[in-house]
Amino acid sequence: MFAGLDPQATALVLARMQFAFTVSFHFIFPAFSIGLASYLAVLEGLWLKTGKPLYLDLFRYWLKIFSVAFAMGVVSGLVMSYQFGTNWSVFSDKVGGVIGPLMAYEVLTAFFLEAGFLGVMLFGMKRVGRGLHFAATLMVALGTFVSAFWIISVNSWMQTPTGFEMGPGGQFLPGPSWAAIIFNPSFPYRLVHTVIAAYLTTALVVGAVGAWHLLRDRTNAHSRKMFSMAMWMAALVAPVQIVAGDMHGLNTLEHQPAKVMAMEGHYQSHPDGAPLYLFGIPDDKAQRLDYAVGIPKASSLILKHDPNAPLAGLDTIAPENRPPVWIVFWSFRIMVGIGFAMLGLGLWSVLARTRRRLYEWPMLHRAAVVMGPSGFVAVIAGWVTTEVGRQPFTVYGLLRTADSVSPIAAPAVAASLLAFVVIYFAVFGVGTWYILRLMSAAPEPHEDGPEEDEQAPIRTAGITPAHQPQGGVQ
Amino acid sequence: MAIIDPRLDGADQAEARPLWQRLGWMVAIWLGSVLTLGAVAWVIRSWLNSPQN
Repeated sequence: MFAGLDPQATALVLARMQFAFTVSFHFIFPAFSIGLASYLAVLEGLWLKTGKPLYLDLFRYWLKIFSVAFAMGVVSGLVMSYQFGTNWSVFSDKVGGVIGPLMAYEVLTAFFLEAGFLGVMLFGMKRVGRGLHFAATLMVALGTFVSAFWIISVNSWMQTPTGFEMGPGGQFLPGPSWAAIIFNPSFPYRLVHTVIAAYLTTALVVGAVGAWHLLRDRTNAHSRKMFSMAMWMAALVAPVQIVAGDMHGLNTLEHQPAKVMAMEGHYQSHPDGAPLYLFGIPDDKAQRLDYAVGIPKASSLILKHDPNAPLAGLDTIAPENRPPVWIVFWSFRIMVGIGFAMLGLGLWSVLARTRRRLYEWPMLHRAAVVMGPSGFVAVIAGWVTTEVGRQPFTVYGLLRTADSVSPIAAPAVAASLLAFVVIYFAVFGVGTWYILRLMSAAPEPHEDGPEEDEQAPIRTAGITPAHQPQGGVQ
Repeated sequence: MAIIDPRLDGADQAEARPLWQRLGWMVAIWLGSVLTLGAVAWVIRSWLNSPQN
């Protein structure tokens, strides 16, 4: 695949592959932990409000999974900063003055809100009491959100850079207002779309675990409760996500039109209304979409709210500034397809509820199990759409990717990429296997928490706590 | 009707302690967690800054 490329171009491709691989791996864990932290806060809040031990059992069940996912997110995230120094030192030198402080805020948040209060969540219940423990859970949930705030602000600034001044050495320097940098034009849309995606991802995992255990025992009150909560999320939040995604798309059309052209597969301009292509094989060399299947004028209707509105194509963009269409076109369709599948699952669950078959419909439960990992696929597909769609720039329109890379040798990048692939699959494979193992056990009454796992056995001197009937606590 | 979980004793006992004591525990655990992560970060940073890297 590197035939015909000079060594520096090969190093650039390898550096991009390395970042894409590590960030895709990393993104899985925060996407899960952002949603799971809020779910834990809801569960503990419901326990405190109702006094029902079922919520505490579910809290403890998911807390163990959260702590493993959180740890893997921290470890995989460390590699990101490592690469900024090794492979992307020119980028770091040029934009460090702007994005450095924002990333530092993210690290401070991770340290002092997420990691600090996670310790209280794991080991503090018997020492600080319920109220303070709940406060710690809320701090962790807030921390995951604030972390996302800063990271998405950084990424959004790379997509729609504002509020900076150019230094004498070509560096991007902060202008008079940090607010203009942080709240850049695409930031609010991107933040809302990403955080909702994280909530949906978590809801589908929780729903899949609940459904998995319902297929084995329909009477398990814990499985019923988490399946029901997850399906409410899918039914209520998936439509909101589709609206948020549409608004994000309109914002992208305004600020990054070439990305939308690639997403839509519009190589040519359409002066009398553009079709919405559902399928096609993009051919970047010939600048055309082969085997295209589309709905006439629907793209103009969605993007301009007028079926006859003209839409410019990639033929209006200088060839050296066009993103690669194939990847963007298909990653966008994967994301949107999964989004509508989530909506379908949510509506199915509403139908099942109205027929009082939510816990009695094995086909629905199987569908929920199949959809369990789909949120991760959707967030990575969305990430690929937005990052590859920004190409060939790292800072959109201002700093080219080819001018951001370190003067590195291709063999060195290839070796470190290989090492990352091996280590990531080994370390995170074990972590993911452990999470799946935790999920494979059904939540039970008197679920053990992390404190119990490491302390003396609960059942001592022949005294066994009486289990409550499964159906009696819902 | 709320069902009392027999293992809530620990939380109940914690509630019986004065607030300053519980807050003290919260600060101690929080500090321990931050310092633990700080130590891990320091080790990784030292490794990355070592001459062979």
